[in-house]
Order: sequence, then structure tokens, then C-alpha cells
Amino acid sequence: MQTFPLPSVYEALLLVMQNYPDNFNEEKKLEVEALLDHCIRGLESSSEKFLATLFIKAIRKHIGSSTSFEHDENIYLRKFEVSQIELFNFLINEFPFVRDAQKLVNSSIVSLIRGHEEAVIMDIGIGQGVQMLNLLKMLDGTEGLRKITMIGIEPFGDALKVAKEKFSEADLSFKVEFYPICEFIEAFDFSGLKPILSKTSGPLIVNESLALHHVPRLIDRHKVIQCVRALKPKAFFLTEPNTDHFEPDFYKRFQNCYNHYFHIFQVIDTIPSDYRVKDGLKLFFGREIDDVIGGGDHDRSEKHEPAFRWVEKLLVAGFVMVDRFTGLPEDIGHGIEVVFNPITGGVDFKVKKETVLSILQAACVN
Amino acid sequence: MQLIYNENVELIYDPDSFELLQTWKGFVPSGLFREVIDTSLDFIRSNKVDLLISDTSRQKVISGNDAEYAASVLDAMFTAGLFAMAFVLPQDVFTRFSLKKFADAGIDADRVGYFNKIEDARKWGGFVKSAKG
Repeated sequence: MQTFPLPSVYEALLLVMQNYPDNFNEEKKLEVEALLDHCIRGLESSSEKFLATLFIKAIRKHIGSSTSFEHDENIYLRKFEVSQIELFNFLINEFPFVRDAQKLVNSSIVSLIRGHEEAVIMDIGIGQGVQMLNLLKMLDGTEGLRKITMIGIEPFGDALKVAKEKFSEADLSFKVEFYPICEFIEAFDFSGLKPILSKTSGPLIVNESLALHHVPRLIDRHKVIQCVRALKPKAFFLTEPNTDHFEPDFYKRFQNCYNHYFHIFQVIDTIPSDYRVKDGLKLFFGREIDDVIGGGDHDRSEKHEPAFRWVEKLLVAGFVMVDRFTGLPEDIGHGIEVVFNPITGGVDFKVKKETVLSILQAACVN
Repeated sequence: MQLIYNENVELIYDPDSFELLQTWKGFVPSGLFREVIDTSLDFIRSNKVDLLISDTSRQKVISGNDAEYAASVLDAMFTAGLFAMAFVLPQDVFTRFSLKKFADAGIDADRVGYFNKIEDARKWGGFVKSAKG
């Protein structure tokens, strides 16, 4: 086999993306095809090629189905699919960003609740209640704790049912009262919480993990944070990917997106698991890339924002940032550094120089 | 001797050095690309050609099918008497990927070379000819 120097796939992707939105003539389409053909060969052994293939898949969604390509990347990617439930379990239990971020938030919540007989926890985007169940287990045996009121807001009713079941099955040293609220957070009328909160005592802790970036409009993000502030919580925890996918300029958004997922893929490569699961996880993130790159501005749902912009919203709403994190891990491996960020007042999960995920903690001064 | 000339490609034969030179420019439509490949093969079959140089330095991307087509006729060119084929490497990122696909086809790899400059391609062609001849 003859060899000669080849450009990096990122270099080629940059050129492809410059044609967005309407410069994909026959020649440019062939360029996409040549890059795809190059990436498909050796996909299994190259994270960079895998990532580029997912970007090509996303951009081809934009170019349209009228185009006849020699290759259908879906055929190559389909073999990497893993069941949702297996992926979900893997994400929660093995994927360091999710696992260790939730662990850190939970231990910080535990330290805020300790010493109280009762507490209220409101989780925005509670899903199937995995993080909250882990929190309840961490609280189990806490001296003097008698009752936790758990409010779970989640747009998917089936997930709420699972959460309810999990909480009711948990054998804990205190009573758990669960209030499932099936609603998109931006559509939720916070005054509906009054009857619940009037019956409770103890500190109110609000948590959101990878949920608020799904609120499509900035004005609604502000509104939600202001509504949370009006509840005067003892703490409001936010866990969010630190990247700008709200960026309207496609080319800049692509660069942000590539950079973000490139570093996530680097971490996936280090996880001691078989390739089947790792590739399945990459494919899972491919759906997010599809959304960021292939989706129109109005129907995109993965509109991540960098941490400093969440801080701005929190400050505007009257919160202050506080550094009351408990259980900051020293070394979680996988090339991830967990560090306090003096600018945002939060904790960053960094891979090399890239902050992939940030945890923020806000509080009310009055 | 000029065999083909248009805005996308020039095909020239030098009877003194027995060299057939394809010089590609810009985006070459599939039909024209295959026509030049076919003409080159026909010419090699009926004339003495030692070295075929494909100067792709200014060529834009070609389809994977066209790259495979070019690779598929190379054996026939060698059977017809061609000693070696040299490529002058493309500047274009995507054409490099197309050429890599051609290279990976692995047809008589010792007789196919890739070079940055046409002078180097010619020098190598002379070396292969003397080694084989």
C-alpha cells in the first residue's frame, strides 16, 4: 500500500462546513462524499473518523435527501447501535462526566441538608429519578432526618412513573413524599408549588442536571431561573455542558460542537469497556450532533451555553455564586481534571484545556 | 504530441522519452475523466509508453467510483507495456482522499509512485524503467 501525507479530517470538515447553507453544488457534494469515504474506512479504529462521520451525517441532513450519494453512512453506523437501556445504565454508572458530576452535586446537597429534620428537593428534569434516588441513598441514615419532600418536574410522564416507583421501593431511614409534575419547565406555573411548600419545612434545594439547555428560548431560561429565585432556595445547583451551541452562526457553532464532542470522545476512548458499548455511546452523542448541526434554529433542542452565561442569568435573577462544594474528587482518571473555576465560582470538568462540563451552585443572600 | 486539450485536462505524449502526461485542472466531470482514462489506455496499447504521469496538483475532487475506475484500468495499462505510473500529488484536500482510495487499491505498488513535483516523478520513472528493463 502506497502512502503519502493526508490532511486531518477536521481540516477537511472545516472546508465542508464553509459551504453551509446553500453552496453544496455537485463538486462540493463530491467533497463530502470523498471525506465520508475516507472516514468510513477505518471507522472502528479512529475516534476522529467516527466523529467526522457523525458530522457528515448531520450535514447531509441539511443538504437533503434529493442528493444521491455513493455511500449511506447509516449503513455503516447502524452496526454500532446499542439498546437505549444499556446505554442509559452505562451513562449513569460508567460515564465519568455524568457519574462524578452527580456524585459531587449529591454530596454537596447532603452536607446542606445535614442537621435538618426535613428538607425539600426540587429536581428540574428529574427523568427516571436516578440521580435523586442516589441522593436519597446517600442521605439514608442521616441523624435526625425525618422527611424529604421531593418535587420532580419532567415532561415525560413515563419517566416520572419509573421515578415514583423507585422512590416508593427505596428502603430509607426517613419518609419520602414525592410530587411528580409532568410539565416542560418553561411552561410550568411555579405558583402551583405553593400548596406543597406551605406544608413543608426545612431548606429547599433546587437541582437541574443537563436539563435547562433544553429550554429553547433565552427569555424562558431567564424566566425559569427567576421563578426558582422567587422560591428563595438555600441552593440551586446547575450541571451543564460548557459549550456554545446557542450560537446562531453555523460555522462558529460547528467549531464549538466539534471541539466539545472531540474531547468527550477522547474520554470515551479511555473507558475500560468493550468497543461495542463505547461506539454505541459515540453514536448516542451523534444524535446531539445531529441536532446541533443538522437542526434548524427553531427546532434544535441541544442549545448548550457556556457556564459563564448561566452565571450571568443567575446573577441577573438575584442569586450569588457560592463555593460550598463537598467531596471534590482528587482524581477521577480518564484525563479529566476536576477544578474550581474562580471566574464562574463553579467546578469544571476539564479534558486538556477544554472545559466539557460545569457545575454551578447559586444561593440567595436575602 | 497533444492528444486531448480542454479547460480541465491536457493529455500529451512525448515520443522522445515515451512519457504520457495527464495534466488535470479544476473539477473534472465524470464523463470527461473516464474518457481521458480510456484514451490513455488505448494509446498505451497502440504506442510505446514507459511512464504515465498524472499531474493532479491542480485537480479538484473526483468521485469514489471514478477513482475505482481509474484503478481498475491500471493493470491493463501495465499488461499493455507501461513500466510505471507516477502521480504529482494534489493540493486539494479532497482530491488527496480520492487519490488515497486509488492508492489503497494496491495495484502493483512498486510501479506506482507519488511525488510533490513533476521532476521527481520523471526521475523516479527513469529509475523504475532501468531497474525493470
